[in-house]
Amino acid sequence: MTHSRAPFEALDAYQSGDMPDAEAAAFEEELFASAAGGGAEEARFVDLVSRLGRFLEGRGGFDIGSSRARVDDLLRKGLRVQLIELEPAPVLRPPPIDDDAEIVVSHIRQDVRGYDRIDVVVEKADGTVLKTFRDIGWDPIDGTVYAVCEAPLARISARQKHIRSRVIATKDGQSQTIAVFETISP
Amino acid sequence: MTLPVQPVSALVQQAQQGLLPAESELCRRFVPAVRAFARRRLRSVEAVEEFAQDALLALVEALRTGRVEDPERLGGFVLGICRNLAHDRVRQRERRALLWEKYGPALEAVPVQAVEGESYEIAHLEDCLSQLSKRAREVVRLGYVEARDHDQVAAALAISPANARVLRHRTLSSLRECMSKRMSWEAA
Repeated sequence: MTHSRAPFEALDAYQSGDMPDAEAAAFEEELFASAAGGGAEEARFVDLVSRLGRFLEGRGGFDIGSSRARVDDLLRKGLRVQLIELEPAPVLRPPPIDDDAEIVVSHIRQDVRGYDRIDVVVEKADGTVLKTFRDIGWDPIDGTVYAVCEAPLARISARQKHIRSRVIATKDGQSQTIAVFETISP
Repeated sequence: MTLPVQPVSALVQQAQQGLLPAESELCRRFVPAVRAFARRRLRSVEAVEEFAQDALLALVEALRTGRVEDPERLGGFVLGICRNLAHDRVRQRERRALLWEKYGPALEAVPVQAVEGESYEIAHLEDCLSQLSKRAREVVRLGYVEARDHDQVAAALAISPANARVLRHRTLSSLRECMSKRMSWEAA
C-alpha cells in the first residue's frame, strides 16, 4: 500500500465504508494487486486478528482477569479447564499444567476492589521486566482475580521458572504497589 | 528462515495444471483482500466468510478451466470476481453447493477459524492483548471480532466516532508491533 495515511487507517476507512466509492475502487485495485504478489500485509494482519480473536473471544481470551461466573461458563461449554487456587503468599508454587488442559485459570485470592485500575508487572528474578498485564479485571462478587489463559500460553510462561509479580493499583491518579509475590514453576 | 515468495505467474501455471498446493497458496494470498472487500459491503462475520469462500471457489474454478489469461493481472481478475459476486448474490447462492462439491478441497488451506496448528499464534495474540489497555482490547473485540462499525464501537466505549476510528488503527498498529516481536515470556 502506498497511501500516506497512518498504518491501517486507509484499510479501516475502506472496510468501514468511510472511504468514498471512487477512492475505494482505486484502493481495492491496489489491494488485490498487492495480494497477488503475496503482499497486502495489513489486510492479512486484520484477518489474523479477526480470526484468532473469534477463537479467543469464546474462551475468555479478552478478559485478562475474569470472574468465577466466566470460569463456570467455560466449564459449561465442555472446555477442559485447570483451575489453580493460589493463596496470597510471598512465594507461590503452582502445580504443573495438566497435559490435557485447554485453558488454565489461576485464581489469585486477593481482593483488589476499590481501585480505578490494576496492572501487574511481571519481572524475571534479576529484575528484568517481562511484561505488564494492563487493566486487569476481577470478580465483582469477591474482588479476587481469575487469570484466564490458553494452556499453550500458560505452558510457555511456565518456562520462566522464577518470576516476580508486582500488583500496581491506581486510584485517583495515584499508583501504589499493593502486593509482590514470587512464582516458582515446577 | 523465510522462503522466497513464488511469482504469481508460476503459481497460476501450476494451478492451471490442477496442482492443489499452488491453488491453496493463491487462495491464502487473496483471502485477506477478499475479506476486506466483503467487510466493506457486508456486516456479519458469517456473511463475510460466505462471500470469501464463494469468491475463492470461483477463482479456483477459473484457474482450472484456463480462464485466467494474463497471470500478471490476477489481482484485477480476482477483484473482478468479487465485484461480479457483489452484483449478483442470488445467482451465486444457487451455484454454491455445486462449486463446493467440485472445488472445495482447494479451500481447506484457508482457515475460517483458528485451527490446532495455530496454537502459537493464538498464544502470541493473547499475550499481546493482555498488554493493551482494557479500552484497546474492547476496540479489537468489538471492531474485529464482532465486526461492529465505528458508531457502534464509539457508543459502546462512550467516545466519539472520530476517536473510535483513531483508536482502532492505533490499537492495530500496537498489536502488530507486539506480534512482530518474540512473545514476552520468551525473553532470554
